Amino acid sequence: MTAPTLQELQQWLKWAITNPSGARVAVQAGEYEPKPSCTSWVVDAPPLDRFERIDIYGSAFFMRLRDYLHSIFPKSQEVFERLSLGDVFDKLVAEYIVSVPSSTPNIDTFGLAFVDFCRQDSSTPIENVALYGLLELESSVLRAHLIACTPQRVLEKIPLLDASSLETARFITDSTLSLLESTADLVALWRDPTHAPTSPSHKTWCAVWRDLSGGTRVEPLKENAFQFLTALHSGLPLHAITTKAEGTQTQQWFQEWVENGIIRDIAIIH
Amino acid sequence: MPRLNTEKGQPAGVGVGLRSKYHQQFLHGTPKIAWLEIVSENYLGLDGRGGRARESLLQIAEHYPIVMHGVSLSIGSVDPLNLEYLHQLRSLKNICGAAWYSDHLCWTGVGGENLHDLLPLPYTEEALGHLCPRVQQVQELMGEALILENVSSYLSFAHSEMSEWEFLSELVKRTGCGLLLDVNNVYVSAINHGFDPMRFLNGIPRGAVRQFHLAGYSDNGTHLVDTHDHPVWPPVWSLYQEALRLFGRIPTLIEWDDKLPPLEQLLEEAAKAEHLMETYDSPNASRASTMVEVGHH
Repeated sequence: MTAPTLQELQQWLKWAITNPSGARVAVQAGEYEPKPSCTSWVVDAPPLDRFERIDIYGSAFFMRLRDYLHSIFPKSQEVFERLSLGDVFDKLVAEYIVSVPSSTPNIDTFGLAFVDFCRQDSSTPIENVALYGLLELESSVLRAHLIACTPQRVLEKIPLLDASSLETARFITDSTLSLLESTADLVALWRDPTHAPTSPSHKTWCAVWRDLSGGTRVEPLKENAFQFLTALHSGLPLHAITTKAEGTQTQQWFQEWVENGIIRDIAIIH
Repeated sequence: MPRLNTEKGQPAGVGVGLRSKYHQQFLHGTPKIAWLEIVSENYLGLDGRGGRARESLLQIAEHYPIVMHGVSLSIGSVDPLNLEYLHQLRSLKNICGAAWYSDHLCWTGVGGENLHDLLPLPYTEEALGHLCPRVQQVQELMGEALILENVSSYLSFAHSEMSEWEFLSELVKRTGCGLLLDVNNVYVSAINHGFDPMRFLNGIPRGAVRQFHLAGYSDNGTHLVDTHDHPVWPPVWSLYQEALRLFGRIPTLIEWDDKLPPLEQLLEEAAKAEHLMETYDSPNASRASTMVEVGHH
Protein backbone atom coordinates (compact mmCIF):
# COMPACT_ATOMS: atom_id res chain seq x y z
CA MET A 1 0.00 0.00 0.00
CA THR A 2 1.41 3.37 -1.00
CA ALA A 3 1.68 6.03 1.69
CA PRO A 4 -0.47 9.10 1.11
CA THR A 5 1.14 12.27 -0.12
CA LEU A 6 1.26 15.25 2.20
CA GLN A 7 -1.57 16.82 0.23
CA GLU A 8 -3.75 13.72 0.44
CA LEU A 9 -3.07 13.39 4.14
CA GLN A 10 -3.94 16.99 4.92
CA GLN A 11 -7.12 16.99 2.87
CA TRP A 12 -8.24 13.75 4.47
CA LEU A 13 -7.48 14.92 8.01
CA LYS A 14 -9.30 18.20 7.43
CA TRP A 15 -12.33 16.24 6.25
CA ALA A 16 -12.21 14.09 9.39
CA ILE A 17 -11.61 16.88 11.89
CA THR A 18 -14.25 19.25 10.53
CA ASN A 19 -16.88 16.61 9.92
CA PRO A 20 -20.22 17.64 11.48
CA SER A 21 -20.85 14.05 12.53
CA GLY A 22 -17.72 14.10 14.66
CA ALA A 23 -14.32 12.86 13.56
CA ARG A 24 -14.58 9.43 15.08
CA VAL A 25 -18.02 8.69 13.61
CA ALA A 26 -16.99 10.06 10.22
CA VAL A 27 -13.79 8.05 9.99
CA GLN A 28 -15.37 4.84 11.20
CA ALA A 29 -18.27 5.20 8.75
CA GLY A 30 -16.01 6.34 5.92
CA GLU A 31 -18.94 7.93 4.11
CA TYR A 32 -17.93 10.63 1.59
CA GLU A 33 -14.34 10.04 2.66
CA PRO A 34 -11.74 11.64 0.39
CA LYS A 35 -9.65 9.05 -1.37
CA PRO A 36 -7.22 7.62 -0.63
CA SER A 37 -8.39 6.90 2.88
CA CYS A 38 -5.64 7.68 5.37
CA THR A 39 -7.22 5.95 8.35
CA SER A 40 -4.77 3.08 8.37
CA TRP A 41 -1.82 5.50 8.25
CA VAL A 42 -2.72 6.91 11.65
CA VAL A 43 -0.78 4.96 14.25
CA ASP A 44 -2.98 2.71 16.35
CA ALA A 45 -1.02 2.20 19.55
CA PRO A 46 -1.62 2.42 23.28
CA PRO A 47 -2.70 4.41 25.14
CA LEU A 48 -5.23 5.34 22.41
CA ASP A 49 -6.61 3.70 19.30
CA ARG A 50 -6.42 5.59 16.02
CA PHE A 51 -10.07 6.68 16.15
CA GLU A 52 -9.62 8.18 19.60
CA ARG A 53 -6.52 9.98 18.40
CA ILE A 54 -8.28 11.53 15.41
CA ASP A 55 -11.27 12.40 17.57
CA ILE A 56 -9.12 14.47 19.93
CA TYR A 57 -8.46 16.87 17.06
CA GLY A 58 -12.06 16.82 15.88
CA SER A 59 -13.44 17.62 19.33
CA ALA A 60 -10.84 20.32 19.89
CA PHE A 61 -11.72 21.94 16.56
CA PHE A 62 -15.40 22.36 17.41
CA MET A 63 -14.81 23.28 21.06
CA ARG A 64 -12.24 25.92 20.22
CA LEU A 65 -14.47 27.72 17.73
CA ARG A 66 -17.58 27.29 19.88
CA ASP A 67 -15.81 28.71 22.94
CA TYR A 68 -14.48 31.55 20.84
CA LEU A 69 -17.97 32.47 19.58
CA HIS A 70 -19.32 32.29 23.12
CA SER A 71 -16.56 34.62 24.24
CA ILE A 72 -17.47 37.34 21.75
CA PHE A 73 -21.23 37.06 22.17
CA PRO A 74 -21.47 36.61 25.96
CA LYS A 75 -24.47 38.87 26.45
CA SER A 76 -26.38 37.40 23.54
CA GLN A 77 -25.73 33.93 24.88
CA GLU A 78 -26.94 35.02 28.32
CA VAL A 79 -30.17 36.43 26.92
CA PHE A 80 -30.78 33.38 24.71
CA GLU A 81 -30.35 31.16 27.74
CA ARG A 82 -32.57 33.32 29.93
CA LEU A 83 -35.30 33.02 27.32
CA SER A 84 -34.83 29.23 27.28
CA LEU A 85 -33.32 29.55 23.81
CA GLY A 86 -29.88 28.24 24.73
CA ASP A 87 -30.34 25.32 22.33
CA VAL A 88 -31.13 27.77 19.50
CA PHE A 89 -27.92 29.67 20.20
CA ASP A 90 -25.96 26.40 20.27
CA LYS A 91 -27.49 25.35 16.93
CA LEU A 92 -26.62 28.67 15.34
CA VAL A 93 -23.04 28.38 16.56
CA ALA A 94 -22.69 24.80 15.34
CA GLU A 95 -24.20 25.63 11.95
CA TYR A 96 -21.89 28.62 11.58
CA ILE A 97 -18.75 26.64 12.36
CA VAL A 98 -19.67 24.07 9.72
CA SER A 99 -21.01 26.47 7.10
CA VAL A 100 -18.56 29.37 7.30
CA PRO A 101 -15.05 27.95 7.56
CA SER A 102 -12.43 30.31 8.87
CA SER A 103 -9.96 31.50 6.31
CA THR A 104 -8.24 34.12 8.42
CA PRO A 105 -4.99 33.76 10.37
CA ASN A 106 -6.59 35.70 13.19
CA ILE A 107 -9.29 33.74 15.03
CA ASP A 108 -10.52 37.03 16.48
CA THR A 109 -12.08 37.91 13.15
CA PHE A 110 -13.85 34.58 12.71
CA GLY A 111 -17.06 35.71 14.41
CA LEU A 112 -17.62 38.88 12.42
CA ALA A 113 -19.88 37.20 9.85
CA PHE A 114 -21.96 35.41 12.49
CA VAL A 115 -24.80 37.95 12.58
CA ASP A 116 -25.23 37.99 8.81
CA PHE A 117 -25.19 34.21 8.83
CA CYS A 118 -27.92 34.13 11.51
CA ARG A 119 -30.05 36.61 9.55
CA GLN A 120 -29.62 35.22 6.05
CA ASP A 121 -28.26 31.73 5.88
CA SER A 122 -29.11 29.85 9.02
CA SER A 123 -31.84 27.24 9.01
CA THR A 124 -32.52 28.10 12.65
CA PRO A 125 -34.80 31.14 12.82
CA ILE A 126 -34.77 33.57 15.73
CA GLU A 127 -38.28 34.76 16.42
CA ASN A 128 -37.34 37.57 18.79
CA VAL A 129 -35.79 40.20 16.53
CA ALA A 130 -34.27 41.94 19.55
CA LEU A 131 -31.78 39.09 19.67
CA TYR A 132 -30.52 39.87 16.16
CA GLY A 133 -29.96 43.42 17.35
CA LEU A 134 -28.00 42.31 20.38
CA LEU A 135 -25.86 39.99 18.25
CA GLU A 136 -25.20 42.88 15.90
CA LEU A 137 -24.27 45.15 18.79
CA GLU A 138 -21.79 42.62 20.19
CA SER A 139 -20.38 42.15 16.71
CA SER A 140 -19.90 45.93 16.46
CA VAL A 141 -18.11 45.92 19.81
CA LEU A 142 -15.75 43.23 18.51
CA ARG A 143 -15.19 45.13 15.28
CA ALA A 144 -14.40 48.33 17.20
CA HIS A 145 -11.87 46.39 19.23
CA LEU A 146 -10.14 45.06 16.11
CA ILE A 147 -9.80 48.32 14.21
CA ALA A 148 -7.26 51.09 14.67
CA CYS A 149 -8.88 54.39 15.63
CA THR A 150 -8.67 57.32 13.24
CA PRO A 151 -6.03 59.77 14.52
CA GLN A 152 -7.56 62.81 16.18
CA ARG A 153 -6.80 65.94 14.12
CA VAL A 154 -10.10 67.73 14.36
CA LEU A 155 -9.07 70.12 17.13
CA GLU A 156 -6.07 71.42 15.25
CA LYS A 157 -8.13 71.91 12.08
CA ILE A 158 -11.20 73.63 13.51
CA PRO A 159 -9.43 77.01 13.81
CA LEU A 160 -8.67 76.80 10.07
CA LEU A 161 -12.36 76.75 9.20
CA ASP A 162 -14.25 79.86 8.20
CA ALA A 163 -18.01 79.92 7.68
CA SER A 164 -17.88 79.04 3.99
CA SER A 165 -15.37 76.21 4.34
CA LEU A 166 -17.39 74.84 7.25
CA GLU A 167 -20.34 74.29 4.93
CA THR A 168 -18.35 72.26 2.43
CA ALA A 169 -16.11 70.42 4.91
CA ARG A 170 -16.52 66.72 5.45
CA PHE A 171 -16.33 65.59 9.05
CA ILE A 172 -14.50 62.32 9.40
CA THR A 173 -15.87 59.97 11.99
CA ASP A 174 -13.83 57.38 13.81
CA SER A 175 -13.11 54.23 11.83
CA THR A 176 -14.49 52.11 14.68
CA LEU A 177 -17.93 53.77 14.62
CA SER A 178 -21.02 51.62 14.03
CA LEU A 179 -24.52 53.11 14.07
CA LEU A 180 -27.31 50.71 14.95
CA GLU A 181 -31.06 51.01 14.70
CA SER A 182 -33.35 48.53 16.40
CA THR A 183 -36.86 47.86 17.51
CA ALA A 184 -35.47 46.82 20.91
CA ASP A 185 -33.75 48.83 23.60
CA LEU A 186 -30.34 47.46 22.72
CA VAL A 187 -28.27 49.66 24.97
CA ALA A 188 -30.29 48.70 28.03
CA LEU A 189 -30.06 45.04 27.06
CA TRP A 190 -26.32 45.27 26.46
CA ARG A 191 -25.70 47.00 29.77
CA ASP A 192 -27.93 44.61 31.65
CA PRO A 193 -28.70 41.31 29.90
CA THR A 194 -31.36 40.60 32.54
CA HIS A 195 -33.34 43.48 31.02
CA ALA A 196 -36.44 42.21 29.18
CA PRO A 197 -35.74 42.16 25.41
CA THR A 198 -39.15 43.52 24.60
CA SER A 199 -39.80 46.02 21.87
CA PRO A 200 -40.47 49.55 23.07
CA SER A 201 -43.17 51.61 21.44
CA HIS A 202 -40.65 53.21 19.12
CA LYS A 203 -37.31 52.40 17.53
CA THR A 204 -34.05 52.95 19.37
CA TRP A 205 -30.70 54.08 18.04
CA CYS A 206 -27.17 53.77 19.32
CA ALA A 207 -23.52 54.28 18.48
CA VAL A 208 -20.62 51.90 19.12
CA TRP A 209 -17.08 53.23 18.89
CA ARG A 210 -13.81 53.54 20.73
CA ASP A 211 -13.38 56.86 22.51
CA LEU A 212 -10.23 58.90 22.99
CA SER A 213 -9.11 56.70 25.89
CA GLY A 214 -9.28 53.68 23.58
CA GLY A 215 -12.19 52.15 25.47
CA THR A 216 -15.26 50.87 23.65
CA ARG A 217 -18.42 52.92 24.17
CA VAL A 218 -22.03 51.93 23.54
CA GLU A 219 -24.31 54.96 23.83
CA PRO A 220 -27.94 55.64 22.94
CA LEU A 221 -28.77 58.37 20.44
CA LYS A 222 -31.94 60.34 19.77
CA GLU A 223 -33.44 59.77 16.34
CA ASN A 224 -32.45 63.16 14.88
CA ALA A 225 -28.90 62.85 16.25
CA PHE A 226 -28.65 59.36 14.78
CA GLN A 227 -29.79 60.58 11.35
CA PHE A 228 -27.42 63.55 11.44
CA LEU A 229 -24.49 61.39 12.51
CA THR A 230 -25.35 58.75 9.90
CA ALA A 231 -25.17 61.45 7.23
CA LEU A 232 -21.82 62.70 8.54
CA HIS A 233 -20.52 59.13 8.77
CA SER A 234 -21.44 58.55 5.12
CA GLY A 235 -19.20 61.47 4.14
CA LEU A 236 -21.81 64.08 3.31
CA PRO A 237 -20.68 67.70 3.76
CA LEU A 238 -22.69 69.87 6.12
CA HIS A 239 -24.52 71.76 3.40
CA ALA A 240 -25.90 68.50 2.01
CA ILE A 241 -27.36 67.36 5.32
CA THR A 242 -30.90 68.31 6.16
CA THR A 243 -32.00 68.14 9.75
CA LYS A 244 -34.95 69.31 11.74
CA ALA A 245 -32.62 70.09 14.62
CA GLU A 246 -31.86 73.67 15.54
CA GLY A 247 -28.42 75.15 15.05
CA THR A 248 -27.69 75.18 18.76
CA GLN A 249 -28.57 71.50 18.92
CA THR A 250 -26.20 70.53 16.10
CA GLN A 251 -23.45 72.63 17.68
CA GLN A 252 -23.98 70.75 20.92
CA TRP A 253 -23.74 67.43 19.09
CA PHE A 254 -20.53 68.51 17.35
CA GLN A 255 -18.94 69.50 20.61
CA GLU A 256 -19.96 66.24 22.24
CA TRP A 257 -18.81 64.09 19.30
CA VAL A 258 -15.46 65.83 19.08
CA GLU A 259 -14.91 65.46 22.82
CA ASN A 260 -15.84 61.78 22.90
CA GLY A 261 -13.86 60.86 19.79
CA ILE A 262 -16.71 60.11 17.38
CA ILE A 263 -15.55 62.95 15.11
CA ARG A 264 -11.81 62.65 14.53
CA ASP A 265 -10.89 64.79 11.56
CA ILE A 266 -12.08 67.31 8.99
CA ALA A 267 -11.43 67.20 5.27
CA ILE A 268 -11.52 70.82 4.18
CA ILE A 269 -12.66 71.15 0.55
CA HIS A 270 -11.36 74.28 -1.18
CA MET B 1 22.77 31.27 7.29
CA PRO B 2 20.20 33.72 8.71
CA ARG B 3 20.90 35.39 12.00
CA LEU B 4 18.65 36.27 14.87
CA ASN B 5 17.83 39.91 15.30
CA THR B 6 19.97 41.14 18.17
CA GLU B 7 19.52 44.89 17.79
CA LYS B 8 16.96 45.68 20.45
CA GLY B 9 15.57 44.31 23.66
CA GLN B 10 17.15 40.89 23.61
CA PRO B 11 15.21 38.82 26.11
CA ALA B 12 17.09 36.90 28.77
CA GLY B 13 15.93 34.95 31.75
CA VAL B 14 12.25 34.12 32.16
CA GLY B 15 9.28 35.85 30.56
CA VAL B 16 5.52 35.39 30.55
CA GLY B 17 2.86 35.52 27.89
CA LEU B 18 1.17 38.91 27.59
CA ARG B 19 -2.55 38.22 27.50
CA SER B 20 -5.31 40.83 27.30
CA LYS B 21 -6.34 40.10 30.89
CA TYR B 22 -3.00 41.52 32.04
CA HIS B 23 -2.84 44.56 29.77
CA GLN B 24 -4.10 47.01 32.37
CA GLN B 25 -1.56 45.85 34.95
CA PHE B 26 1.26 46.32 32.47
CA LEU B 27 -0.14 49.65 31.30
CA HIS B 28 -0.47 51.08 34.78
CA GLY B 29 2.51 49.50 36.44
CA THR B 30 5.70 47.66 35.72
CA PRO B 31 5.26 44.11 37.02
CA LYS B 32 8.63 42.51 37.61
CA ILE B 33 9.31 40.25 34.67
CA ALA B 34 12.24 40.15 32.27
CA TRP B 35 10.34 40.04 29.00
CA LEU B 36 6.99 39.31 27.37
CA GLU B 37 5.82 37.08 24.57
CA ILE B 38 2.78 37.97 22.50
CA VAL B 39 0.61 35.77 20.31
CA SER B 40 1.22 37.67 17.08
CA GLU B 41 -2.25 37.18 15.61
CA ASN B 42 -3.90 38.86 18.60
CA TYR B 43 -2.26 42.12 17.56
CA LEU B 44 -3.02 42.10 13.84
CA GLY B 45 -6.59 43.33 14.17
CA LEU B 46 -9.05 43.20 11.33
CA ASP B 47 -6.80 44.46 8.58
CA GLY B 48 -3.30 43.79 9.87
CA ARG B 49 -3.01 47.29 11.32
CA GLY B 50 -4.15 46.26 14.77
CA GLY B 51 -6.79 47.63 17.09
CA ARG B 52 -7.13 48.16 20.80
CA ALA B 53 -4.75 45.33 21.65
CA ARG B 54 -1.97 46.77 19.51
CA GLU B 55 -2.42 50.21 21.03
CA SER B 56 -1.84 48.66 24.47
CA LEU B 57 1.08 46.59 23.21
CA LEU B 58 2.93 49.60 21.86
CA GLN B 59 2.79 51.27 25.26
CA ILE B 60 3.85 48.12 27.08
CA ALA B 61 6.68 47.49 24.61
CA GLU B 62 8.31 50.72 25.74
CA HIS B 63 9.14 49.03 29.03
CA TYR B 64 9.68 45.35 28.19
CA PRO B 65 11.51 43.33 25.56
CA ILE B 66 8.93 41.61 23.37
CA VAL B 67 9.06 38.43 21.34
CA MET B 68 6.39 37.33 18.88
CA HIS B 69 4.91 33.87 18.74
CA GLY B 70 2.50 32.98 15.96
CA VAL B 71 -0.07 30.25 15.50
CA SER B 72 -1.09 30.62 11.87
CA LEU B 73 2.05 30.45 9.75
CA SER B 74 1.06 26.93 8.73
CA ILE B 75 4.56 26.24 7.51
CA GLY B 76 3.75 22.58 6.85
CA SER B 77 0.56 23.14 4.85
CA VAL B 78 0.45 22.27 1.17
CA ASP B 79 -1.34 25.60 0.63
CA PRO B 80 0.84 28.47 -0.55
CA LEU B 81 2.30 30.63 2.22
CA ASN B 82 0.06 33.56 3.10
CA LEU B 83 2.31 36.42 2.05
CA GLU B 84 -0.10 39.12 3.18
CA TYR B 85 -0.05 37.63 6.66
CA LEU B 86 3.75 37.53 6.61
CA HIS B 87 3.91 41.19 5.61
CA GLN B 88 1.58 41.98 8.48
CA LEU B 89 3.84 40.04 10.85
CA ARG B 90 6.90 41.88 9.62
CA SER B 91 5.16 45.20 10.08
CA LEU B 92 4.05 44.28 13.62
CA LYS B 93 7.56 43.13 14.44
CA ASN B 94 9.05 46.41 13.29
CA ILE B 95 6.45 48.48 15.11
CA CYS B 96 6.74 46.75 18.47
CA GLY B 97 10.49 46.12 18.19
CA ALA B 98 10.16 42.40 18.86
CA ALA B 99 13.48 40.66 19.33
CA TRP B 100 12.39 37.62 17.31
CA TYR B 101 9.37 35.77 16.11
CA SER B 102 8.46 32.13 16.20
CA ASP B 103 5.72 29.77 15.10
CA HIS B 104 5.06 26.04 15.13
CA LEU B 105 6.30 23.13 13.07
CA CYS B 106 2.86 22.03 11.94
CA TRP B 107 0.08 22.84 9.54
CA THR B 108 -3.05 24.73 10.58
CA GLY B 109 -5.24 24.37 7.51
CA VAL B 110 -5.53 23.42 3.87
CA GLY B 111 -7.70 24.40 0.92
CA GLY B 112 -7.80 28.00 2.10
CA GLU B 113 -9.34 27.11 5.46
CA ASN B 114 -7.76 27.72 8.83
CA LEU B 115 -8.67 25.07 11.39
CA HIS B 116 -6.96 27.08 14.16
CA ASP B 117 -5.18 24.03 15.46
CA LEU B 118 -1.57 22.88 15.38
CA LEU B 119 -1.78 19.74 13.30
CA PRO B 120 1.04 17.20 13.11
CA LEU B 121 3.12 16.37 10.07
CA PRO B 122 4.44 12.98 9.02
CA TYR B 123 8.20 12.88 9.56
CA THR B 124 9.16 12.00 6.02
CA GLU B 125 11.63 13.14 3.38
CA GLU B 126 8.65 14.37 1.38
CA ALA B 127 7.62 16.65 4.27
CA LEU B 128 11.18 17.90 4.68
CA GLY B 129 11.40 18.60 0.96
CA HIS B 130 8.18 20.56 1.23
CA LEU B 131 9.18 22.47 4.36
CA CYS B 132 12.72 23.54 3.57
CA PRO B 133 11.99 25.97 0.70
CA ARG B 134 9.06 27.37 2.65
CA VAL B 135 11.20 28.01 5.73
CA GLN B 136 13.76 29.67 3.51
CA GLN B 137 11.09 31.80 1.86
CA VAL B 138 9.87 33.00 5.26
CA GLN B 139 13.41 33.70 6.42
CA GLU B 140 14.13 35.75 3.32
CA LEU B 141 10.93 37.72 3.71
CA MET B 142 11.43 38.36 7.42
CA GLY B 143 15.18 38.91 7.09
CA GLU B 144 16.05 36.61 9.97
CA ALA B 145 15.94 33.02 11.13
CA LEU B 146 12.54 31.49 11.63
CA ILE B 147 12.19 29.86 15.02
CA LEU B 148 9.97 26.80 15.04
CA GLU B 149 8.38 25.10 18.01
CA ASN B 150 7.80 21.39 18.45
CA VAL B 151 4.06 20.88 18.92
CA SER B 152 2.31 18.56 21.31
CA SER B 153 0.58 15.82 19.36
CA TYR B 154 -2.06 13.18 19.81
CA LEU B 155 -1.56 11.18 16.66
CA SER B 156 1.38 10.14 14.55
CA PHE B 157 1.70 8.56 11.13
CA ALA B 158 2.77 5.06 10.26
CA HIS B 159 4.75 6.21 7.23
CA SER B 160 7.02 8.54 9.24
CA GLU B 161 10.60 7.71 8.33
CA MET B 162 12.29 9.33 11.32
CA SER B 163 11.58 10.49 14.86
CA GLU B 164 10.33 13.99 15.58
CA TRP B 165 13.71 15.04 16.98
CA GLU B 166 15.54 13.68 13.93
CA PHE B 167 13.10 15.56 11.73
CA LEU B 168 13.66 18.81 13.66
CA SER B 169 17.43 18.35 13.55
CA GLU B 170 17.37 17.77 9.81
CA LEU B 171 15.25 20.86 9.27
CA VAL B 172 17.70 22.95 11.29
CA LYS B 173 20.62 21.52 9.35
CA ARG B 174 19.05 22.23 5.97
CA THR B 175 17.57 25.69 6.63
CA GLY B 176 19.42 27.25 9.55
CA CYS B 177 16.16 27.85 11.36
CA GLY B 178 16.12 28.07 15.14
CA LEU B 179 14.09 25.97 17.55
CA LEU B 180 11.69 26.90 20.28
CA LEU B 181 11.84 23.86 22.50
CA ASP B 182 8.53 23.48 24.27
CA VAL B 183 9.43 21.27 27.19
CA ASN B 184 5.80 20.67 28.10
CA ASN B 185 5.05 19.58 24.54
CA VAL B 186 7.94 17.14 24.62
CA TYR B 187 6.51 15.62 27.77
CA VAL B 188 2.90 15.55 26.53
CA SER B 189 3.89 13.92 23.24
CA ALA B 190 6.18 11.48 25.04
CA ILE B 191 3.30 10.26 27.19
CA ASN B 192 0.83 10.20 24.29
CA HIS B 193 3.15 8.32 21.94
CA GLY B 194 5.17 6.35 24.44
CA PHE B 195 8.71 7.61 23.84
CA ASP B 196 11.35 8.66 26.33
CA PRO B 197 11.42 12.47 26.56
CA MET B 198 15.15 12.39 27.23
CA ARG B 199 15.70 10.78 23.84
CA PHE B 200 13.96 13.81 22.36
CA LEU B 201 16.13 16.30 24.28
CA ASN B 202 19.31 14.41 23.54
CA GLY B 203 18.44 14.36 19.86
CA ILE B 204 18.13 18.12 19.47
CA PRO B 205 21.19 20.02 18.15
CA ARG B 206 22.69 22.11 20.94
CA GLY B 207 23.13 25.43 19.18
CA ALA B 208 19.70 25.51 17.59
CA VAL B 209 17.54 26.16 20.65
CA ARG B 210 16.66 29.85 21.01
CA GLN B 211 13.83 29.66 23.50
CA PHE B 212 12.08 27.31 25.90
CA HIS B 213 8.38 27.11 26.63
CA LEU B 214 6.91 25.78 29.85
CA ALA B 215 3.21 25.22 30.41
CA GLY B 216 0.67 23.12 32.24
CA TYR B 217 -1.17 20.23 30.63
CA SER B 218 -4.44 18.50 31.50
CA ASP B 219 -4.41 14.83 32.35
CA ASN B 220 -7.33 13.10 30.64
CA GLY B 221 -6.50 9.74 32.13
CA THR B 222 -5.61 7.97 28.90
CA HIS B 223 -3.58 10.86 27.52
CA LEU B 224 -2.33 14.36 28.24
CA VAL B 225 -3.66 17.49 26.55
CA ASP B 226 -1.61 20.63 26.10
CA THR B 227 -4.19 22.99 27.57
CA HIS B 228 -1.98 25.77 29.00
CA ASP B 229 -4.45 26.12 31.85
CA HIS B 230 -2.49 24.78 34.81
CA PRO B 231 0.76 25.48 36.59
CA VAL B 232 3.75 23.61 35.22
CA TRP B 233 3.60 20.02 36.50
CA PRO B 234 6.53 18.42 38.39
CA PRO B 235 7.62 16.08 35.57
CA VAL B 236 7.88 19.06 33.24
CA TRP B 237 9.93 21.01 35.78
CA SER B 238 12.25 18.03 35.94
CA LEU B 239 12.52 17.84 32.19
CA TYR B 240 13.18 21.59 32.12
CA GLN B 241 16.15 21.04 34.43
CA GLU B 242 17.46 18.48 31.99
CA ALA B 243 16.95 20.95 29.16
CA LEU B 244 18.87 23.62 31.07
CA ARG B 245 21.66 21.14 31.65
CA LEU B 246 21.82 20.27 27.97
CA PHE B 247 21.19 23.63 26.31
CA GLY B 248 22.13 26.22 28.94
CA ARG B 249 20.30 29.33 30.10
CA ILE B 250 17.98 29.73 27.17
CA PRO B 251 15.26 32.42 27.50
CA THR B 252 12.26 30.65 28.96
CA LEU B 253 8.59 31.50 28.77
CA ILE B 254 5.76 30.47 31.05
CA GLU B 255 2.84 29.94 28.69
CA TRP B 256 -0.62 30.21 30.21
CA ASP B 257 -3.58 30.78 27.90
CA ASP B 258 -6.73 29.45 29.52
CA LYS B 259 -8.22 29.79 33.02
CA LEU B 260 -5.72 32.58 33.45
CA PRO B 261 -4.54 33.05 37.02
CA PRO B 262 -3.92 36.40 38.70
CA LEU B 263 -0.74 37.93 37.30
CA GLU B 264 0.94 37.44 40.66
CA GLN B 265 0.55 33.66 40.37
CA LEU B 266 1.94 33.70 36.85
CA LEU B 267 4.93 35.70 38.04
CA GLU B 268 5.49 33.20 40.86
CA GLU B 269 5.63 30.46 38.24
CA ALA B 270 8.18 32.51 36.32
CA ALA B 271 10.20 32.97 39.51
CA LYS B 272 10.37 29.18 39.92
CA ALA B 273 11.80 28.86 36.43
CA GLU B 274 14.23 31.71 37.13
CA HIS B 275 15.41 29.93 40.25
CA LEU B 276 16.06 26.73 38.33
CA MET B 277 17.77 28.62 35.56
CA GLU B 278 20.16 30.24 38.02
CA THR B 279 21.24 26.77 39.07
CA TYR B 280 22.66 26.12 35.64
CA ASP B 281 25.46 28.42 34.62
CA SER B 282 26.45 26.56 31.55
CA PRO B 283 25.50 23.57 29.48
CA ASN B 284 26.35 20.25 31.07
CA ALA B 285 26.56 21.79 34.55
CA SER B 286 25.89 19.40 37.38
CA ARG B 287 22.33 18.63 38.26
CA ALA B 288 20.58 20.63 40.95
CA SER B 289 19.96 18.87 44.20
CA THR B 290 16.24 19.48 43.73
CA MET B 291 16.20 17.24 40.67
CA VAL B 292 13.26 14.89 40.66
CA GLU B 293 12.63 11.90 38.49
CA VAL B 294 11.31 12.53 34.99
CA GLY B 295 8.17 10.48 34.69
CA HIS B 296 4.43 10.61 34.51
CA HIS B 297 3.06 11.51 37.94
